[in-house]
Amino acid sequence: MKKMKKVLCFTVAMVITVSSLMACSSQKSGTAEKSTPNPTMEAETKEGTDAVKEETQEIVEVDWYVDLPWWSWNGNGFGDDLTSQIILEKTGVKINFIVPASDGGEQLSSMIASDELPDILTVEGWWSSRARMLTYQMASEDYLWAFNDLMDQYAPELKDVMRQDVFDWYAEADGKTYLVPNYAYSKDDLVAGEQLVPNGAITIRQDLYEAIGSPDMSTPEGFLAACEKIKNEVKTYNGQEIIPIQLYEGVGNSILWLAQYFATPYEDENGNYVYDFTHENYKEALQFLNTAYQKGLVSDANFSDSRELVNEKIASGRVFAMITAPQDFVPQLQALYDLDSNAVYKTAVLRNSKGEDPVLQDIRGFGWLTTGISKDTKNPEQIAKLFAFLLSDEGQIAMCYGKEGVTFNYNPDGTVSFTEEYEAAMKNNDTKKYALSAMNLLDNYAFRRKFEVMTTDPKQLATVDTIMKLPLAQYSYDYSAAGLKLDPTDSRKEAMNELGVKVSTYRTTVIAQLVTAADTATFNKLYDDAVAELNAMGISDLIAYNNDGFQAAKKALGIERSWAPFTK
Amino acid sequence: MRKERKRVNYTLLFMALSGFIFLIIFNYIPMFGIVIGFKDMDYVLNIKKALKASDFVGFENFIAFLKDKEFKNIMINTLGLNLLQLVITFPIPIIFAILLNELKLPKFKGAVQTITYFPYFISWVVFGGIILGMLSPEGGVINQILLSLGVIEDPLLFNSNPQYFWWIIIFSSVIKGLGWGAIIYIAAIAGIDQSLYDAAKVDGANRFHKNIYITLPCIAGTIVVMLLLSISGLLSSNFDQIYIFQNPLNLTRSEVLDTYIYKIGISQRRYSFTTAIGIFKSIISMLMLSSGHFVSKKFFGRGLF
Repeated sequence: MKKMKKVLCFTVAMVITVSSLMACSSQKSGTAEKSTPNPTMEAETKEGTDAVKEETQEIVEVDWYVDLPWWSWNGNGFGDDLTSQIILEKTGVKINFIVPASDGGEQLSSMIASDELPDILTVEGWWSSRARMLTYQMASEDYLWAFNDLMDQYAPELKDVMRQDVFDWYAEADGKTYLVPNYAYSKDDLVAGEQLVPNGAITIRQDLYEAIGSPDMSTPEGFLAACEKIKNEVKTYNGQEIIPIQLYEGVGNSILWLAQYFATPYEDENGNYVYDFTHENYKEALQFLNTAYQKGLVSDANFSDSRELVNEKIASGRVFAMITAPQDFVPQLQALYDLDSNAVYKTAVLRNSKGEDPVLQDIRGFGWLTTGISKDTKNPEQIAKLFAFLLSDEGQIAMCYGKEGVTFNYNPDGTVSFTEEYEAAMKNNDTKKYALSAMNLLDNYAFRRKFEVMTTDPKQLATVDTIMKLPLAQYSYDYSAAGLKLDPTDSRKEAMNELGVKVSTYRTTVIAQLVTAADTATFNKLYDDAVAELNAMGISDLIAYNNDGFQAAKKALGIERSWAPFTK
Repeated sequence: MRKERKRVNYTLLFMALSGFIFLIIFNYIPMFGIVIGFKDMDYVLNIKKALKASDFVGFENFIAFLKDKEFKNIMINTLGLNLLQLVITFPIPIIFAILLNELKLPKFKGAVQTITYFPYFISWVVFGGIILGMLSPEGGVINQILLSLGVIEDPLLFNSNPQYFWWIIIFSSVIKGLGWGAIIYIAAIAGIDQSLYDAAKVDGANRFHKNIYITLPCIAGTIVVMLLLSISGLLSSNFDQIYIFQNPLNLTRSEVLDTYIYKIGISQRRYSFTTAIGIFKSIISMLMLSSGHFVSKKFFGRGLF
């Protein structure tokens, strides 16, 4: 008896030891099995059911990483809504989207460091030094598929759906292109001389603005005075305290859009690149935010809020003015409209103290997010075909409008209108089962807008960003050259990439401090210190490097001058 | 003399072995990663590949950290915050355990213990979120109370004014860790021989005397061990907690070694630089632990082992 107990104890101890050791290895083999579907097995099981369909109909699962914590598939889930069913049906690819928990890019870095790359990855584009450096390294160290190779080996049809000028713009040192952008504006999709709406905008609540007697808000003083009036006279909306000015969480791109309102140039009279931070107009934009902060119009919450909280505040109608890109908040604006159809936003025109007209960046340019395909993927052919479909005219229409006859119909003039079924779903906020526009990672709006019909629905008119921003089109210009075309073979590239990341990290912190400076003296001291610090970091090298990229960009675009006041 | 043959208890051996193997795999093998700190591997993509390809740079990364403009601030925050924690957060569970021991009603005692114990099991993300909400200048409970009592005229900017940061950290760790921290002392108090108290009673000791002359000396060993362990952790902060309360505005008082390593190391991919900071931290901690151990051995006759 005693012996048996001992044996039992011994076995238990052994099991614990062995299982603790096995835990890691078994897990590993498990995931490996999952990501490499056995082709013969798959073929066998699919044979009976899918024999009629094409040979590509074997369903493959791919991981698609999107480096934006707030991005999500706006539908029922992949495979459970119309848009994803179209993708499945047309390409046989089931996409599993992966989104990080925080926005420092930590998850992506660790995935790369530990050799666990997703099949497809989407990161931010030109304005993010961190993302730009990362994708450049990944391309040059053979982590990404060159789209040129994918075309040659697997999907020649990709060649036909790419916009050549955009594709060439993204070429690396070896002449190959490793990334495709969304929302890029190709020459092919533009009419010469066309004026487009801006990217970012200042928008104000029209009903509240009228409630305080529609004062002049086109000067910095007038703008702040109106916001103060809102704060002191209107005070609350729906029982909640009004937020006079809302920015992106942690300021973010709000300062970029505001600086454009304040006509901060990126080119001087000699055609050279101008660094924004040290320019007087940029300083004035910072000062404007600081004054707003000192008057209690910009709250500290801007620095501790997450994007979800910003979304919530906008949807609740508490925000009077916001300095953002309205396209980021369309669902929130629509939710607000559903609660109160008077709570609509309109754009405002704000000028700097010199009275210069705003020079806003229009939405044209070489894209927003950039997407690449990992060399580690087991299914390059299927992914190439997936991209060929998504980038094709057919795919673009399907991703935005769904299925002909179900969610949309073609009008005689070639434009597209939603069906009654979908219109009804929109009224009932029941559009998740269609998930239209959920797949925006490869969206080419420049092409797609030709199919748009000017809506008559008051809710759409009031909340859709492209309509809302129309009055600003007269102040919007082509900023493409400011996106720089950096020479991938430049020997300074690595050092400048590193410096760029350091500078942008520093700027994030210092801008927060500047905006929240207690008084003007503190602000000026902080600003001077920041300029000194940037100089110490070697900003002049970065400016020289960017200037080369700027000149190259102008050359590639075939223009002498880019900054709008010089081209007029 | 009869040769004593020790019997090997295989059951115990294997139980210990599993822990030992765990230690090797997760604590000793990763130690080879220390070489990263002596190589130039900042901004690389794949660590495994770079480990072979990159050059040794000696102590360059360490020197870079000592020269870093953030260095002074980070060290002040890390040490200042932890020393304050040591002075304030460390003794509170001891006092709490002694007070709890004095309670006569077992049911009430149990209830207090459970209530103080409970917050420990909520993650910092959730608990920190609740505290942030309470401290908010826009309708947070604490500001509301202070305002209505007339203590302040304008809401205090707890979340954005750096000067409050350390206190928020300390108070929130006291609230969250009180019950959990007291457990070990409660257990130590329970182990005290009851006859000591009886003898003291005969000698005319009151409750206060009993605690001073019996309870405290009896749990002194536990206190010393806990103290030594916290001294070794002087450079480590509770990452989750600080990360939750941190924002760009309070960075001057909230950036500590651990959050800096995370941000620079993982987000910016400066692997070598931050590994060097990690090594620096470990070495200082080890020095502090061993000197604390020797001091306590010398003066109190007891150390860690």
